Amino acid sequence: MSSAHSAGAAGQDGDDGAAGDFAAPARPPGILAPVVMAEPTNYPSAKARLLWTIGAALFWAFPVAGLLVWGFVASAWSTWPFQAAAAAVVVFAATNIAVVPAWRWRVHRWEVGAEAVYTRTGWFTQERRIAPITRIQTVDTARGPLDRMLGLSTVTVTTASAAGPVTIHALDQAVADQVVAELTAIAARNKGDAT
Amino acid sequence: MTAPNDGWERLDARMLLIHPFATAVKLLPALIGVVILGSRSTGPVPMLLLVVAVVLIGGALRWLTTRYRVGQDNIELKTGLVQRKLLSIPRNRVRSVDIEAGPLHRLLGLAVLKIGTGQTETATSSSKFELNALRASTVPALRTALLAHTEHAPALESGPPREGARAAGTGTEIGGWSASWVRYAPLSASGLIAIAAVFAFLMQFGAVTERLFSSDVLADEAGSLTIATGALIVTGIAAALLVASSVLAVAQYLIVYGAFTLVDSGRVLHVSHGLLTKRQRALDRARLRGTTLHQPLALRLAGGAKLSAIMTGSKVGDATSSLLLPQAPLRQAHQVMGAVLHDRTLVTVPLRRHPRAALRRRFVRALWPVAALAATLSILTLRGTTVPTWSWLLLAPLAVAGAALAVDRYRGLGHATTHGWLITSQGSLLRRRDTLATDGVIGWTVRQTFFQRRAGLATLIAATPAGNGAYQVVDLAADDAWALAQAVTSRFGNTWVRAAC
Repeated sequence: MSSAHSAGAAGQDGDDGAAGDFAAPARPPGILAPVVMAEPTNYPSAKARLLWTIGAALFWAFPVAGLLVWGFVASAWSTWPFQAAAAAVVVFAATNIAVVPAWRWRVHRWEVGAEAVYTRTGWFTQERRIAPITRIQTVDTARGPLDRMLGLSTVTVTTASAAGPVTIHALDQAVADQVVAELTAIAARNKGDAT
Repeated sequence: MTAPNDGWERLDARMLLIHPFATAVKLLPALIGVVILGSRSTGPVPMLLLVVAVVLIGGALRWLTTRYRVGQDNIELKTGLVQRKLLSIPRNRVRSVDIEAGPLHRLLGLAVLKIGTGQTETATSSSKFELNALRASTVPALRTALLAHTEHAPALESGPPREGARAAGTGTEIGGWSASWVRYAPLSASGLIAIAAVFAFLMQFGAVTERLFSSDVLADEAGSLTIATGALIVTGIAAALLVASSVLAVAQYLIVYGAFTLVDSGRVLHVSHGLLTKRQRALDRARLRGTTLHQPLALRLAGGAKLSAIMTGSKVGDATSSLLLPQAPLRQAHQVMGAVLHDRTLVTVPLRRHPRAALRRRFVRALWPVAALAATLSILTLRGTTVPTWSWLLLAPLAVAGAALAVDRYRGLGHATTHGWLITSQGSLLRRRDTLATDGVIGWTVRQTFFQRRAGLATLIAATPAGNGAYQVVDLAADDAWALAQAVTSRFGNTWVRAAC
């Protein structure tokens, strides 16, 4: 943000003084200093990949069971609709169980900095989310049965926006507790209603 | 609970006239059913009398059991006969007070007062605070009293308060509505939506549609159709739809937006419109986080636009509650936008174009359905199925339209950031330009699909508690996304960015 010469549009300013309050020098719109975003520093728990693999396997068990029932009940093993469906299920299940957890592991990162909570999630579609700590409204942890089995926890940080919360997936329980304690302590210090 | 009449007041007694009428209108389909069904057994009269009695007693009970109280700290509403309910809202939580008066209310000199607390969740009817109805002459004073606490709220707009315009009700008219703007009404989808609603309503009566579709005439005709007569019929139906939807849209525009006024009294923007049902809203500048300029394709081609405010504490997806200007000439929309935001330069800020890769993505998205159609037709032809010639002829106009759409969608993409504002534009059929105050941004999402990563693009989403909750900058260069986020909200700190040397 080093460059500063007046915006072309400012010449038309015939306003009744209201616009004069913006004393900051007008930056030419769109011309910004290049910025490289740092990646969040922390990895999820080492058991995250196991969690995602088991989760995917459990999910795909249902379509596979459905296929088996279809095959046995209708004796449809050699018909083309069955084979097409079976091929699709096998391909998607294999990708989801064998490839996606590792892919996710390469993407998922999180960081709770002094000013903001910052995460990177996803695999095919990847998202980086940033919520400034001053705007945090609630901090939740969620532990499904699988999470409890593996001693993991998911921390969800919500703001006043409907645009969606910042979620830190698959943290070790101890780490999650620490993150929650830290965030709630900071959020409690902030005044205002975070909107 | 306090003793009765301890500040508790009833709604206006004239509601005894309105409630039964309103209920009757709501029950109209059921009443028709009663008449039809009743004629088969006992005759319609006893049933009708029963319904009328129930409605009358219901209205009276509603009036008798509803009380409200405007207290020092809270405003309370008691309703219900069997299940008593007390709804209490702290007065400092009141964020909006809307006034509405339908034709019947106006005839009797009444008005409905609706109190909003800025819940973003879809408010259920049980948590809506609505006084239906009060004497119209007492309502403005009550509204002023209820909104008094916002007087000292820090206004986002840093413009100096306009002297002599602080009192509610006085101020400058900046809407400049003119009845000739109705010419823009047929250019939006409202007429078509109305027709669809009527059609959906008719569909509920299964018998009607059954008769329509199973008629032998229709089946016979369909069998002996040539391309020419088919095209003629389709054109005829389309023309009839166009005329009907235009008429409906014009009527709707006049009824809903007739006598539109937008009064700027410095702290508050007073919006009022409606020929039959008169609606008045006060948009508090302290809650204003920007504006959205809507330019759907047809409206844009005719040089028109619509303007709405981005407000905190308005329900998500509730477009009418933040309307600043209905369909109007673009020039006027720009003028109102400049006046509302206290900065006329925002209207003309040149937007930064997005990379060519974004154009490529638009083309792929617009043209792959056409390509898929062509492939399907080819496969069918190769397998020996006879494909009607017109389906091949259809491909060319579809491809041209797709390409035009892609180019226009790309031309719609753009963003800019200037002293305190983030401006983003997108879309073709529903072109919109959002001008969002950077103070209102409370978080960022940078989204990249697999294809966006390959193209070096990203979609930047600004999270805000106002308006939609999220405003997107679609398909900008991935490197620009970080820079833009950092430029808009440098106050977030810089733990997550480092400047490239």
